[in-house]
Amino acid sequence: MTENDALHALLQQALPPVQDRPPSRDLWPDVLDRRPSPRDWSWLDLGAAAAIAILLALFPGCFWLLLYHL
Amino acid sequence: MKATDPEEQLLRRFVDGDPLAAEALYRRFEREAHGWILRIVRDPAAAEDVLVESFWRAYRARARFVVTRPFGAWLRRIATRAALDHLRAARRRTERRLGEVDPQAPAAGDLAARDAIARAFRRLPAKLQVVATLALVEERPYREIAEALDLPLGTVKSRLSRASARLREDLSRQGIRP
Repeated sequence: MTENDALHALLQQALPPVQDRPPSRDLWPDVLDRRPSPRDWSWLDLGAAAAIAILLALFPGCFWLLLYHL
Repeated sequence: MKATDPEEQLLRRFVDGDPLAAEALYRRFEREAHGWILRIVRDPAAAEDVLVESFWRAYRARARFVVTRPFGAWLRRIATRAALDHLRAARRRTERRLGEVDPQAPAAGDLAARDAIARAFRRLPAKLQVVATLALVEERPYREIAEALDLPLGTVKSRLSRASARLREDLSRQGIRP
């Protein structure tokens, strides 16, 4: 028995080949869950909302200007 | 392959981002990809996570897929990379725990020796571990391994040789002589 054969035999003993088996459940929904939701708020959206809120808190008079632009 | 070939149409729809085509391809290749990943990561729960990650990566990379090439081989390469990433992450998580060498020199053949061998195997760098798993444990042909890892055959053989040398070195430090 060569050194390689001996190592091979040792590994086969310690780590027997795995039995082929299907996944335990349907994983397609998990793949779909990875898709980012289009309704998710981005950091840019949150930053803009926070900036507007701060602006309105500091300068309440801007509310009418903001309303006019909406 | 003709432009009207339903197989090519399905692949084109996948490349265009059609989720139904993606699902059809998932259903067709899930079992094969899962079996391959399971051989590499050797943990059923982890294999399922890596399968999901692989399909998600394939879906995100769909624009780079060439529809005239076999989808299964392309997916297998992605799955192999995802499995490698999993092994690297798992190794980082357990590095400190596994880094300690067992001071006892167990006799080869008993449970402790088998555990020591398995731990020595998991201590291999991920890129060597994946080659050793597929070649020495799963006995897959070198050509298949080279294709899945997108590497030349010579690189697979040299990695296998390095993996064997490192395993021997690690095992002999623990008093196990293969």
